[in-house]
Formats: sequence, C-alpha cells, structure tokens
Amino acid sequence: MVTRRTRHAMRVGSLMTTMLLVTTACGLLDKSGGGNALTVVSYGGSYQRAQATAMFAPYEQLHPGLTIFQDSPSANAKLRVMVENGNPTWDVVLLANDFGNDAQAQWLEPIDYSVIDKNALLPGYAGEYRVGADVEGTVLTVRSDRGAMPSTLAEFFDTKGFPGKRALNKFAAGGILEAALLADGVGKDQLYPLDVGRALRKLDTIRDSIVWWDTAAQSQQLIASGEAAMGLLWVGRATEAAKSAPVKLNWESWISQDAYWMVPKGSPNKEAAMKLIQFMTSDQPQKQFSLLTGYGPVNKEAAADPEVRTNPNIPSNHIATRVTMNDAWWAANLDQVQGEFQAWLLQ
Amino acid sequence: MALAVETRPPLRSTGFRPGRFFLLAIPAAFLIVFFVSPMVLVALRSGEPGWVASYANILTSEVYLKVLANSFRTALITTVLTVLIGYPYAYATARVTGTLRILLLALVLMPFWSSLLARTFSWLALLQDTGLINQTLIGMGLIDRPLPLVRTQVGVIIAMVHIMLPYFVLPLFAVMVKIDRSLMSAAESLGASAFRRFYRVFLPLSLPGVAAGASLVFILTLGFYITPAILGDPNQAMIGEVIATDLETIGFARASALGIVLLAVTLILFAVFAAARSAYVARSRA
Repeated sequence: MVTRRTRHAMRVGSLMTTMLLVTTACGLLDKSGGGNALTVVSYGGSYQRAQATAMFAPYEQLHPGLTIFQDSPSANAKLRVMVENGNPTWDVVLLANDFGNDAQAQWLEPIDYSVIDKNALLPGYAGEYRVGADVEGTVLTVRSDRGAMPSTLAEFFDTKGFPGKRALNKFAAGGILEAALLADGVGKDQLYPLDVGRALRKLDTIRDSIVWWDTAAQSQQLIASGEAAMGLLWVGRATEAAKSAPVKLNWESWISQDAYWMVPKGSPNKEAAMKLIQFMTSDQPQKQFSLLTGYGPVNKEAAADPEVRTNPNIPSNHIATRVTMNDAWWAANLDQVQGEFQAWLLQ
Repeated sequence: MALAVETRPPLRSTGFRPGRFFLLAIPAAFLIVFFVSPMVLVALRSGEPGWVASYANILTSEVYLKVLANSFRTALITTVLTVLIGYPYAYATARVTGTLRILLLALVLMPFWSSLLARTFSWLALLQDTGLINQTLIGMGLIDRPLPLVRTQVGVIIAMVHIMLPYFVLPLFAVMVKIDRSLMSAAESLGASAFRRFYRVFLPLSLPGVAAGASLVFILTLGFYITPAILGDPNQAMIGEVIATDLETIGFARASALGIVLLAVTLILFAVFAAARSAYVARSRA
C-alpha cells in the first residue's frame, strides 16, 4: 500500500538524490581547474606506469603542492570533442604521430619553445603543435625457431623463400604501405607521395599469409605463441615477446611510429603544461623512461648515454636505418587512402 | 499470448497521480541527458559535410554497403544459433529447481564476470592454428593441418554466440518460470501428447521471451567491434570496426553518419518484424 506519508518520503528521497547527482557532477567538473593540478593522459598500461615512475612522480617531488592526475587511454577523437565543447579537462596528452600535425592545429595549443628547449631534442621532434615523447617504430620481428629468417623487407614479402604467417597492423597509416613499397624496391627517400596502388599490389602477393592485428596486445600474442612466424610489430611489443619466446628484432629497415606530447587548445593550465613537457623531455626522465621501456629517448643527451647506447633494441640507436613516416602527407591523404585500403581488404 | 495479457492484474487507478510523474521525471531526465541528446548531437554532426553529400557518400559506397551486409548477416547467424542453443538451455534451467538451477544460471552468467576483451583473447588462444583445439586434434592424428577456426567467420560466430548466450537465456528464463504449469496438465488431461503439449501450449507462451532475447542479441551483435576485429576475417569486417576506425582517423561526421544509417536500417527491420508479428497475432486470434 502506498500511503500519503510514504509517497511524501519518496518525493523527498528523489529530490535528495537529484541534488546529490548535481553536486557530484559539479565536483567532477572542478577536477581540471586550479593551477595546482595537471591532468596527463597517455596510452595506459606498463607504458604509462613507466612514465609515472620516470616523469610524473619526480616532477611532483620537485613541485610540492602540485598534483598530477592521470587518465588513460588517450584518443584523438576524445580530445577533439573536449576542445570543440570548450571544456578540455586534459592538460597534456600523448598521441601517436598521426595527430598533432599542422592540419590538426584547430584542436591544439602551439608549443611554447621559450619554455621547452628545442636544441636538446633530436631532429624532427620539436613540432609546431607537438613535442616528441619517445622514439618508437614498427620493426621486422622474426621467430628464430622457424628455419631461415628474413633479414630484409624484400625477404619478408617472399613467401616461397620464407614461408609462414606474417602479422601486420590492419591500419592504412600503420606503415604497411611503406613496407610494401620498400620491399618492391622503392628507395626510402622516394616513398612519398605513396603509390598506393603499387603498395596494395605488392601486399596482394602475400595476402594469404597475412594475419592482421588490431591491438598491440594481439600482435605480441601472435608472435609469442608462434601463430605468426614473423611480423611488423611495434618495438615495445616485439621486445616484450622476445622475453618469453625465441624472437629476434631486425633493424635493417624500420618505420618510425612515434608518440608526441600535445596540449589541447583552451587548456586552462597551458603554462604549467609546457613546463611539465619541458621536464619530461629533459635528459634524466628521458633516460630513465628509455631504460624502463626500451623505447628511445628524444633528448640528445639521453640518447647518447652509454647505458642507452649499449641496448641493441632501443630504436634511437638505429636512426641511420630508420624510414621516417611523412605525417603531413598522411594527414592530407588519410581519408582517401583508408578508403582504398578498406576496399582492398573487402576484396 | 492472449492468455498472458488477460491474466495481468488490473491497474489500481487510472487517475492522475502527481507522485508517479515525479518519480518518472528522474529516469526521463536521465534518458534525455545521456541518451536522447547525444543521439541528436550525433545526428546533427552526421550532416556537417552537407546532408545529401554525407549520406549519398555512404549509400553509394561499395565498401560501406558490403560492410553493412556483412554485419546484418553475421548478426542474423549469431542470433539464430543463440536461439537454437539458448532455448533448450533456458528450458532445462526453468524445469529444474534448487542447486541445479543455481548452477545452470551461474554457468550462463559466468561470462558476465570477465571482460569482453579477455574472453575474446581466450577464444583466440583456443581457436588459433597453434591453439588448444587444433593442436589437440593434430596430436591425436585426426587432422593434418589446422582447421580454419580463426580469421574466419566461424571463429567470430563461435565467440559471439558464447558472449550473447546470457542475453538470450536470462529474459527467456524469466518468461518460462512464469508459465503456469497447470496449463500443461490441462493439456495432458485432454489427451495431448508430450510433443503436442510443448508445441501448442508451452512454446507459444514462451515466444515473448524468445522475441525479447533474440532482439537483444541481434542488436548487440550488430554493434560488435573488438571480437570480429580479433577473431574475424577482414574480408568480413563489421560496421562497428569501420565506425571505430573512421572516428579515430577521419572524424565524427562520417562515423556519425554510419551510425545513423545502422540505426535507421535496424529500426526499419524491427518495424517489419513488429508488423509481421502483429499480423500473425491477429491471424491466430481470428
């Protein structure tokens, strides 16, 4: 039976719930504000834990009273929405090289190079809207227990001489088109503008041997379990797989796939954000992060550090054989090329 | 079905009760803020490059049409298999009592307790060429080369049926336990065989549960993203994968338009389904 009194109690109860919801919502909104807190967003997982150890924690120690909030994973779609709604709750964001080019200027604050030391960075990592976070890449990764190992990209595309499944990233701008063209004999300085048709024809020749991966965890699983005999993997995942399985990394030619720090346009804490980026790209945090993860430092001094130099699988030790992705070309052509790639996949 | 409608207790009062509306205001406000308004925003964004251009682009693209067709086909196959496996399971669960019923419900609920990604990777570990199933079969000498269980539609459907079973079994179970057993006894006393009792009495009474569960499974399957991406063949890509890639790389307008097309096609299908259902009900009453 619903009496008058219980109905009244319900009404009061729901009113209180509403008030509670409203006040919590306000509390959530307040998180980004204030000069004593920064929200940093990265890829998450062990990668971000290493950044916390090497970068966020020491920075908090140097600046008592400042708190770094972490969020993950970063996503450029989310960043765009925040900026478009005029309420970015992220202050410093790490994203891959397909974002942060001049074409995406409308969502980003220009980097303040009076705060960040451009000369301390390796060439190419001081962008108008982004600063390199580390040197990463897609590298030829091969099982060493399957007989002859391909040592070049051309051999990677030779399924007769080197049989077995190939793990490749199912993403047009993930380096596979570049790899196909290099295997087909295009020089690394003549890649752009990409001849997409030619690249897809080359991929056709190994089509039945391709195992696609969509997530980095999947790529590691494919190689570590032996499901794929070889693959083009992100360095971090390849070195992880090599810890538990007979897996070798080949640095003969590898394709850049870097991560960059950026500041969303309209961030209320952009000065503090620039200072944090300066710290994160300075030599000590860079060196420590590199030794923790196996990714290369973007800081010149850290990259030249003997401890970093002696690790054969740190990408910054192989700059000479690196094939650099033309991010500006990709920013201008991604829509078109992705359509062609998707159509090719569906054939 | 007519019986089910008539046995519902009459409403106590149909008069205006302000309290009831006030209580409804909270869920209504929640739906408006978190469901209706994002939907409207998505619809608005889909027209950013121009309404005609945006939708003509999708509806004339072979790629998108093929992906849409793939999605509906995969969702249909998954739904049919889920119904075929889930119906006997729900029936058994509704027939037994006590510990056995709790055990059966726990088994079907178990997948809910682990993440979708973890389950998908577990299926990968079982189904891949170097996985448990293929290695066991090869070890036993039953097959020479691995069965194509992953990177094919087979793998996607196996995993999706497993993931979807609780969504089908639970609503159906809820309907089945409410079916009045004395109706079955009545049918028996009138001389109906076991098959006839099931086919003419139990099955029609359980159909609302089948419809509820199957529509839930169909809709959820249509939007699947990570499972087909990991276990499937890119040649059979589903719309969720394409929307996700477009959202991250090309931008909101295209992804939103794709979402709206998916929603529209689904609503049309359900309208057809509902019309067919009411035609069937009208005919069986006549």
